[in-house]
Amino acid sequence: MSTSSSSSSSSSSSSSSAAAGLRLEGITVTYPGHRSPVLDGLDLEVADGRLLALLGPSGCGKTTTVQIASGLLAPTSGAVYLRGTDVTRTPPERRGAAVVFQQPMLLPHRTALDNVAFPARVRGRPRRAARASALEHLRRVGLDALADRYPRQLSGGQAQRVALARALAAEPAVLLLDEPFSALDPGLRHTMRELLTSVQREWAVTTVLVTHDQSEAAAVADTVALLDHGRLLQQARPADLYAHPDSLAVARFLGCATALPGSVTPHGRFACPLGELELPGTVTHRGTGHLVIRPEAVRLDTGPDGVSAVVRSVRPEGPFTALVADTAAGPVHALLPPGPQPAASERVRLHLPVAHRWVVAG
Amino acid sequence: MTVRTPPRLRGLLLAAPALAVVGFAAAALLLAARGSLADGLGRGWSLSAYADLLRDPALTGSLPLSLEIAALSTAVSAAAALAVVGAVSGSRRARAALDAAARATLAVPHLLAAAAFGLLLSGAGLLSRLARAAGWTDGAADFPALVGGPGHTAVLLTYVWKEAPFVTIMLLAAYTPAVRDLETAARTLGAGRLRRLRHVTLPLLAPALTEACLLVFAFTFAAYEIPALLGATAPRALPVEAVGLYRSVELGDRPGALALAVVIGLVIALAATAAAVVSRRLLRARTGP
Repeated sequence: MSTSSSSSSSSSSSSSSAAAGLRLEGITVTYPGHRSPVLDGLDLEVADGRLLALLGPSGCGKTTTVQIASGLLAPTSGAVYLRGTDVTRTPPERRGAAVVFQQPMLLPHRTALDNVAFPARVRGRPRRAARASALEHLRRVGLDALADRYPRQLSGGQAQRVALARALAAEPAVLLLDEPFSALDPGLRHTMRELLTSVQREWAVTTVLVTHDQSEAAAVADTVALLDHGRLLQQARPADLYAHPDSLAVARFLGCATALPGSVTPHGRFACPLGELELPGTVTHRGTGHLVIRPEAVRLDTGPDGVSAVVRSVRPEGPFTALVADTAAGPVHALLPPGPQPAASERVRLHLPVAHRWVVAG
Repeated sequence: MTVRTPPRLRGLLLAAPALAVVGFAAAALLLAARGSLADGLGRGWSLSAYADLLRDPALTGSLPLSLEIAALSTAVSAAAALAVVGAVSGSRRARAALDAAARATLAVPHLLAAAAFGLLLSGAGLLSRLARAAGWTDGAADFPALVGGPGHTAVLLTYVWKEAPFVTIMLLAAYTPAVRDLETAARTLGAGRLRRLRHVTLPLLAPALTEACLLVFAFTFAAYEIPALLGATAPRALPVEAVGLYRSVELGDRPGALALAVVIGLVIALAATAAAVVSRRLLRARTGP
């Protein structure tokens, strides 16, 4: 991929005077024997008590970021701060960064209760006190009835809930979730997301959720950080990320396939082979760029302000219809609601609502 | 056209070679037991061989000695193996190096190990000479009796040197990525090295450790070469006594030798039963009732 628009601005970063829950500063990781770094000068900040979703394709460095934050891996350069304290050289056991992995990683020889009591026990608390607070944590995830079960007697979702309760029982400074729901079936994943958000809000623990699932990221996160090739592409609130992507790469990753080349005139209009298109006032970019518009915003329209296009392909996508139509400026992708659909090669007019238009540089 | 064998017969046929081996072993044990219950000419029935064992002061010293050698060798080997496996837990390269070193040691025959430790530790051995050269001792007589002495130091050292690598290999085989992942998870929950060893590594390696300990105990209790070459002349280890009696010119000693072999077998059977009970409890603890 050669789109090197590395404008890693964080559009929603508030004042950095208050200590962030977790802050990664210029983290670079190069594995021995590899020339290109896995993480390349990554800066990331999670506000105290907030939930950040780390989103990106496989191999973009998400899991490495979790390992750096937890201390399981030392960065080649850069620093890690937890609540304002530099913990770059602090070993994982003394860092206070609990990790929930893709697999529950419960101790097979301990009951659910004793697994949750484990963090308190290793901190030297007496068994009875540790178990009492563990039962409370199990109740939070709705599993107090299964406290005496061994991990093998739990289903995948139950085991992952115990793992979540155990991580919370460690009273971590930051909770790191490394694709914790990816091994669960879709229905269960949905329930787990709701559980996670409610527990996270209740405890206000700084949380990083690693996922490759955009809908999961958008559903639970206060902010989403999009990672690619070890770099932060953009960090923003989910709605902002969808509406105002920083770059073509971000737009493409979030499923916005339409990108019409052209340029923004000094008067804030988009000049392209389709003519001069009106842009919303939020577009501040000037000069060459691509007009992007989300497929679900595009509609078929017979009105005068429509854009003339020839249908290239039509295919069903769930209850919707995915349509690709060629315009004079390039292909436009649309996701049409149920109803009568045009056929291939048919000439149609597409309505590109002004409010949904956006221009990215490059 | 192939002839279809009934499933039950088929199973029996498949198990036949294994059953034959077990059968031969059982027959040999029964013959030994029978021989130990006979008079000196291998005829009739008599408990005199066992009664003689109880009366002979040299032999009554042999059983505690053999138990002590086996128990100490097993315990020290297990502790050493656990320590080195715990020490290399983090590094794949260190684990590979440890595995290679342990395998190399395993390849040395016990007889050769006994000879080597004899040359190293005896009164006229390398260490003794070095100690004298350094001025720590005045000569061989001044050097502690490691070989053939009352402490059986040379026997124990040789056994630990030979058996600790064996336990190490067994532990490394059980020390799977799954166990290491659990250690990693425990680490992020605040467990330091010792707590991880106690709460994660040891419980998960316990079944393999139990099996390894049983095998080491059974071997060190019944093996002949090392106590024969490096042990004291009295009391002697049980297997040394047994072989001595068996090779005696007196035919009347034969039932005594076989009785000793039966005692050795019984002790090992007891140890195996104990290990099986422990194993079952460990398994139940891992999976729940």
